[in-house]
Amino acid sequence: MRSKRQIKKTRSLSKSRGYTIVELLIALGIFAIGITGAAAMQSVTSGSNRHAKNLAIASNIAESWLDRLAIDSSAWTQDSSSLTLKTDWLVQATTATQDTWKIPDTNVDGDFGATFGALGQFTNLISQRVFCTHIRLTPLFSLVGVANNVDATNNGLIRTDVRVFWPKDSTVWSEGADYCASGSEASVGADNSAFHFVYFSSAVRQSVNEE
Amino acid sequence: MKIRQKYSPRGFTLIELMVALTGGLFFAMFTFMMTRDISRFFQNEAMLSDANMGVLTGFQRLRNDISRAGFMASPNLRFDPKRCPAPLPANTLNGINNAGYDANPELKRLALLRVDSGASTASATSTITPDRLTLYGNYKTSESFSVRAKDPAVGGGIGLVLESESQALLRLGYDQTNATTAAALLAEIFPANSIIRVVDDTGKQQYALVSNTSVATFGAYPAGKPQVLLSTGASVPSIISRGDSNSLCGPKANWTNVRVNPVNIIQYELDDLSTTSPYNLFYQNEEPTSLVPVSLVRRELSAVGLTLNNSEEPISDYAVDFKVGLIVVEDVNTRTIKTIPAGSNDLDGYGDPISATNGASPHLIRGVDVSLSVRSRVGDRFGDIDDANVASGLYRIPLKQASGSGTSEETISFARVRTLRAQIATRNSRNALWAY
Repeated sequence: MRSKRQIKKTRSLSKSRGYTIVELLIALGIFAIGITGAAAMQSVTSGSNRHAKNLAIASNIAESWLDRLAIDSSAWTQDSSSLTLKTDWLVQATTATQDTWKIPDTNVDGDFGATFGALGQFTNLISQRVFCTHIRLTPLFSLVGVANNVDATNNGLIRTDVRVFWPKDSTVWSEGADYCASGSEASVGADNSAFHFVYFSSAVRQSVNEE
Repeated sequence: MKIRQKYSPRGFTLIELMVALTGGLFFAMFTFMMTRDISRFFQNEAMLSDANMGVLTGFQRLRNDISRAGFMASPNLRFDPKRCPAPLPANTLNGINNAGYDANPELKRLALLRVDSGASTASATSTITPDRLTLYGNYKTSESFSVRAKDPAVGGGIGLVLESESQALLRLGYDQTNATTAAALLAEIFPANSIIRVVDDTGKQQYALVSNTSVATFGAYPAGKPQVLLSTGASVPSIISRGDSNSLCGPKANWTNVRVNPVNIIQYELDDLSTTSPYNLFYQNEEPTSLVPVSLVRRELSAVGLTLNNSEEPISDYAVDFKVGLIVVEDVNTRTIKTIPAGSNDLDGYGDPISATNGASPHLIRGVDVSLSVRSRVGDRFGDIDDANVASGLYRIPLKQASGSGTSEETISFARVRTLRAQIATRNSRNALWAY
């Protein structure tokens, strides 16, 4: 018969034989958590770079739009019909949709409009579309050629707001697939969970006549 | 007693040791490979981030310069009705068709800007033909300077004494109590051989070349007499004074009716600075590739088209492509705007006002459609985008390692490309609609 001392020693020795399955699983679990963290960091870094790229492209699209509206304003002269007849987009400021977000039409030449591809190039093809644009035109001073314009001082000024948006990677827009269709402006603008947005603002002034 | 022998701390057997070592080796290899991959991934992403930052900063500089084109300069010297003498009959070279202008071709072609398709000095590969963009305007200052008088004591040129206490000079920090800093500032604004615009009290403008600048004591001030010396002679444009050949424009006898400002010629193109000091230091540890390490380079030109000293600077490194299109007034009556894409032959109609058959119309340019592509320094992809509609160089560009000539992953890798594109308004030509 073994003494108590012998039994105690035997137990102690048997503990140093190796790891139990539970210990092994715990160690593997901790290791797996570490690996998952590193993988998640890679995904976040890659996503951040992609987002930085998209943000830069969207900012340039927004600035391009402000500049195109400035170019459009060169056709808005003291000629009373110039705003309504000669401008591509500023005419919106004379309509019922003034001061509301609207998807701008493609211009007459068909080379600039609301939708842009992955590199920031204008495109009419839905398959290439990534970025979409809304503009909002708000008359600040009197506009020559606008109904009920009391003070036609030839000093018109229009506030120009541009917002460019693109879908978030992991989110599907609940309202439908075509986020750049006319009529979707209000619902898209309110949906921060589905889209990234950049906003830019400026103002354009009425031109003088030909120098 | 038997139990004690069985579990005694006798050490490991060779088998146990081998198994433990092998297991440990596999674990170490796995950990090492994983760490290496993670480290490489973050390095690659950091380089891509650098490319992103490079294209952003370069594009911002480009945007600012394009927006400023035509500032305090004619958008088309040939057609400008504010030129002295006027281009009469319309669309003539009257007043600029002489040896003085012929000897200074960049001045004679003075316009808002000029696009030379595919004319960059260098390109990353032979299949990519980047453009060159030349901008004209007052890029040194936002000021024009009033002339106090013409200095009658100066011979061999026209000495213009500027108002030393004018707000324009004071805003730039001109200190007439300090001759050294005053002289340096004046030389910075009007460097030798640069273009100067002379605007008289009728609003008519002429152009001349700066010979040099100096300051001299006037009254109690050691730098109270800031002077700009204009070159004269057959090889430089001459100034027409009021009354010359019954001229109704130009400076009066003592030049008190004029203001002057510098006009700079800024050129953007892709060029290889990897062998040019001091930029070569940046490339000295570069891993060799088959791509030329071109940069978007900004430089200032003289009136004859030479690069001014110390004006050359790389704006975006590891550039891939640089394309420039135009937004122009197509019809001066309807003011219809159209976009001319980069590379189009139609760009010629808005290009060089002198060499075009009927004279081009750069004053009708209303904006520039510009795109700039920059790559990451080192390749981190082993293939191009798998899309037949995507041209090579648009998203990725191949970097062939010099050490190998095969097509395996070890010898060919692709760098990722970041592109920014924007349309930029040229507001200084906003109302120029001169027909011809």
